[in-house]
Amino acid sequence: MNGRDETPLQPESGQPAGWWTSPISDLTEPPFPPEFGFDPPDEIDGPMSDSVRTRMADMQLIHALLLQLNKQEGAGRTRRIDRTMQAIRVSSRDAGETVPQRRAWNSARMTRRAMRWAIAASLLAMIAGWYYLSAPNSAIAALDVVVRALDDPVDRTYEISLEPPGSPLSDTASSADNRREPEHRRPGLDGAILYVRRGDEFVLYRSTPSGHFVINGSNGLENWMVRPDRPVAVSSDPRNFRIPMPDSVATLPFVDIRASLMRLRDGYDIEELPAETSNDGSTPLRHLRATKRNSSIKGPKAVSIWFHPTAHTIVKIRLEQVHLQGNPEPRVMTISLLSRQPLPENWFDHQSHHPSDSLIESY
Amino acid sequence: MANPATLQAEAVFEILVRENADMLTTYLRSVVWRPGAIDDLFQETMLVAWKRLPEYDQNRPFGPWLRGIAARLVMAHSRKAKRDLLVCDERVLEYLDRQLQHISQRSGDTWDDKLVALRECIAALPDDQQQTVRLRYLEDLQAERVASQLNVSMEAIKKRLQRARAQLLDCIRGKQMLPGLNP
Repeated sequence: MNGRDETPLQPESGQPAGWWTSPISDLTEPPFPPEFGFDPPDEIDGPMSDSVRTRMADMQLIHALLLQLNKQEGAGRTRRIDRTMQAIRVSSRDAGETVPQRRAWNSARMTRRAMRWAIAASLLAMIAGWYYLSAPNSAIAALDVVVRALDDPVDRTYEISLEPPGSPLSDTASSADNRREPEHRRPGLDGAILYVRRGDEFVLYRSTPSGHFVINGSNGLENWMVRPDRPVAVSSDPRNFRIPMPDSVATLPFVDIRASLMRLRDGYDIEELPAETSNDGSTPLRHLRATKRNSSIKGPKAVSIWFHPTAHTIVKIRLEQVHLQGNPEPRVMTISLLSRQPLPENWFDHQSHHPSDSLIESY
Repeated sequence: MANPATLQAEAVFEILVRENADMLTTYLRSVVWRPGAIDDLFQETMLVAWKRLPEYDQNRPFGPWLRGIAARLVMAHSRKAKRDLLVCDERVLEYLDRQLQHISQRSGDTWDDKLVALRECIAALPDDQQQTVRLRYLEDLQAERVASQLNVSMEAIKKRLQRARAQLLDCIRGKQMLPGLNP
């Protein structure tokens, strides 16, 4: 290894506890978040002796073990495993199509994008009847049946993506409170994961550029928001801590979807386009497309809904020309169904997403 | 639609994912600081393991095999995004692999069960260090918030954490949670 001693590292003996703190802590400003208390490897790379390297490895291990004790670790673990299993299911359905390692290593999000169609197709195997369409030859009738089927209590997990992705700092259409946050703490919508139950319960995980999560949600009775280093904000006012999108978009696929779909019928021309075949050659999906009748109507220019021809499962919703706050250019937002696996009963309560003794502030 | 054999294989593999998730996360967090990169590498490690499962020698433990995959992915990641990493090279990864194998072999049904000694050691820390560790790690507060809450400087918090980690290392070695010091 570059002429260095190849002897495996061993724990260093005879060093007093804490010896590691003084020489290294005097180095220049660390690139890591300051709370790490670690110093830049660049500064100590090269001349670093095995004993120092071992000690660093020990300290990093202790740091990692301590992070496992974090009270919110359970939620992060669940999310990590769910995403992974989703990717694995896609991978196993996608035989013969190898995910390029270079892209896969670059970002799990890139992987998810590459697999989105396959995800949608694979989920069809697990999903039993969601929206039942009684008049398949009529786009309007199809939409009406979708509206009537909205009391389905099955939990759903979606992924949100934006095209073009743009800056994660600018793809959020959020409250004034969010705008006061420093840039590295502003969460983005691209790549966000949304959990939904019925028409009024949701949890939205968005990540910030610094890697923390901002979580907001509602159990149908209270809206809430969990932010790093902030008290948990809870409000019984349904206008607070909503999904951070323009109202016309936020209500469309998730919250109060019934009213949103009714509005689609009222303000949009709806047609059924030819069925589309997904990348893996599975059953072509039916495609409803709603186009805004005139510009005075708020909302995206067009809404597309893809659903399975027999199971009638909605697999993807695509919103065209969505205007998000802080970004002058309209974006395309795609909401893809990832899973209908049941979520824990209390998943939509804020208590499931922060330590039990977190400070709570009511609004 | 997936065939039943595939579904069964996925279900079995999911058990392996769940059983090894905490261990793998700890391994990755030991060398990577950026949470997004940790999540990406976690997913990629499991994906590669799934694809290479036919190559896995079932007579050997699954954990080290998984860490071997993770180590290669971490090294590949370091070539592109070195700044995501803490101190990390092949020898560090090998060293950490041995430490985690030692922890894995401790008694306890879950990874959390195997960390009992660490919890005991936290409880034995001096009050100021214990309070700082609890706020920073158990409550997941950022250092500046911990400093504000305890009314001390950031530098003091940083030093407390460094000293606490050093003390915890000695303590858990004393409890044989990690391999002991060489003579």
